[in-house]
Amino acid sequence: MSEKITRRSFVKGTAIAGAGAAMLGLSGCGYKDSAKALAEPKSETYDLVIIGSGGAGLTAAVEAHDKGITNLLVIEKMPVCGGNSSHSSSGMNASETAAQKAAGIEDTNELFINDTYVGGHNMGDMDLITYMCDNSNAAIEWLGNHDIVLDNLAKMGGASVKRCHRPTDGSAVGLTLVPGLLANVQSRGIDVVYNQRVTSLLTDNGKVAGAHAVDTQTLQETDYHAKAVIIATGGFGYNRDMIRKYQPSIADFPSTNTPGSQGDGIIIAQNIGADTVGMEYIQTHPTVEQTTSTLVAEAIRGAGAILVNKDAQRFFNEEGTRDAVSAAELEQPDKFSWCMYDANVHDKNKACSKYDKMGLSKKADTVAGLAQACDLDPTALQATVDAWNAIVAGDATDEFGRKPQETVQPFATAPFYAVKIAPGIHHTMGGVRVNDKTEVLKSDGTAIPGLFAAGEVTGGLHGANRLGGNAVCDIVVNGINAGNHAAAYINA
Amino acid sequence: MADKDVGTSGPAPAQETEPKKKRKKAPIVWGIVIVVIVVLGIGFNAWHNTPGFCNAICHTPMDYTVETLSSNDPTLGVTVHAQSGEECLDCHVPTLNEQVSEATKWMSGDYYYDDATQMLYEEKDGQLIDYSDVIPNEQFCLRSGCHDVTTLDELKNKTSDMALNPHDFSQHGYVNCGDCHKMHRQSVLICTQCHGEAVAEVPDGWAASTDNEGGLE
Repeated sequence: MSEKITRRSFVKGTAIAGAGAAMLGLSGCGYKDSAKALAEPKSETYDLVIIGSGGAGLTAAVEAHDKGITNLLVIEKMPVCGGNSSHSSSGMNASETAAQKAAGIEDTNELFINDTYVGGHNMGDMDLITYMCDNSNAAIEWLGNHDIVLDNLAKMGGASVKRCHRPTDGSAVGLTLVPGLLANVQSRGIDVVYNQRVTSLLTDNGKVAGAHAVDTQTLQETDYHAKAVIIATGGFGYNRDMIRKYQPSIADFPSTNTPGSQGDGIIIAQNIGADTVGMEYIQTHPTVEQTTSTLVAEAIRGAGAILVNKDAQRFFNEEGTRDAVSAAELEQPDKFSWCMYDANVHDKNKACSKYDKMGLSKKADTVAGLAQACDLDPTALQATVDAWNAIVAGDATDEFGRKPQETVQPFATAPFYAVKIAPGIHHTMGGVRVNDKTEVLKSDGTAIPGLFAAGEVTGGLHGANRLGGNAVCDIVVNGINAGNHAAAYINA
Repeated sequence: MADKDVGTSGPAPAQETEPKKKRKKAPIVWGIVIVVIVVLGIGFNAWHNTPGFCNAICHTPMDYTVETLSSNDPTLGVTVHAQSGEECLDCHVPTLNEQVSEATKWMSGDYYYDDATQMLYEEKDGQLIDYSDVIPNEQFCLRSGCHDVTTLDELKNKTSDMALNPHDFSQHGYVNCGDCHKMHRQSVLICTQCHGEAVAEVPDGWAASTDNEGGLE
């Protein structure tokens, strides 16, 4: 590394002289115009540019295209598309849906709004919450119309009823959502360019007029001119410096985010006057395997998994909100716990076999065997399991307030599994300030003309804590919303 | 001084005879010049198409590249291409822009040469990047006469035995070939940047992504 720095310093020192010499030589050869062309960015023109190809960006692209904006481009910084949406494990919260009605689940938009507001410690922006919840069923139907079916219901932390919509086969939602959206993007002939990192927004007379990007492989710079821009770049959960700045206490936790989650979109919007909201609210996910940052899906707890500490004791309501469960884990001896489930839960959740393949799970045919594998006291673990099964059977009340749903079965079907977990950085609730039309706002509350934002890059919706399943709802509802409003702005 | 003498003795005849002599010699001189230029041009063109040309001026940056043409390292893209008869300019199609760009970078020192590995990179903001304007994507690498693959399914089937098929583009869109398959340095299985379990599938001689925090879902 030191050699590298030395070389760089040397390069910097000689760069000015070298560039001067180069220009002198080139002008003599008649290459001056070519050299000038190289120094200037390439230029391309579209009606709409969407920055980011995760769930929000791809949804916005499809919706804008369906609203007649066919000259559009999706710009992705990473070599692959999908962003954090590719990692999304559980599902999409929605209320008053056909799947809920078919399952006999009584849910209302008002209940969904209340759960989201309370889950966010009464800090969420009620306009944004109301818009998301009221349009959640429409978004589920929109996905269905685009051949993306989420009809397998699960209960998530902080939710009053089962409203998390998962792929039919119970697999991670990102593995259905991202390829499904991508297929829609490709069938419409929408271009996605990769390895393009947007470093600034272009403006013209106070209106956003495109984006300036650098190719991460060749360093070629390009000005993507556009009548409107949608920022869908995700949060900053993989940017250690930003996390240290806004929430230093968790800066050293592992991150479940994709490496692209660097907060780029927040910074480029701030640079042209966008306001931010709630930047200090960063969610830790309570069940993260620490050596590989692998997230153990929340739906696995919803399906019946329990958390036990080093003393083989349960210590909290496993279906509590992510911030509360994370905080409880950090109070346990050595600040870790075991996420335990039986074969019933294992076989219902495809992701469990992935943890097995990665060597993250302990497995045993008896509770005593599992205790041994996890270095726990077998008698204490058996007592914990027995007490839990009495709660499941309705013979006892949980001292931590967990009320297992009817579909949860006793912890009784061998083999038994356990994954050692602790909290990890998961979601950044803060971001650019938007209104319920996805318009990006300045600190005086006025909208920046031509600039829209959707998904984790925005702040305000989730308040101080996001409920599991609400991120996917946000990206689909507001991806559609942004596509719509950007199209209307362009056509106006 | 002699000119003066000639001039004073008979200026008129001298003016008539000298242009005549020149007229006779001029076509021969020009002919020789043209032949020399053509011969040099043919020679230069032939030389231009060899690694020696690339290495003639830009000694430091090109040494590694030229040497690896015959390195016999089967995991190094440039070696494999050279062994099958490809030359530098088959991939580095010489456009004026690219040549000017390379010359400018060489003169300005805007590149990074690692003495330990004898590798050449361009560098910006501390990040190593590829040093070519060639975009190694499916249009370039899979074109007729090169890697003749008619459908991407054909490509997908070639690696269908891998647990995470890197040529299945349904989840992440079309990845540029060159994002993994590096020609002048060690190839990288970029899947490992997010998929920890893909580390087990890194081919011999390849590298895993270095900025991976772990396997994510």
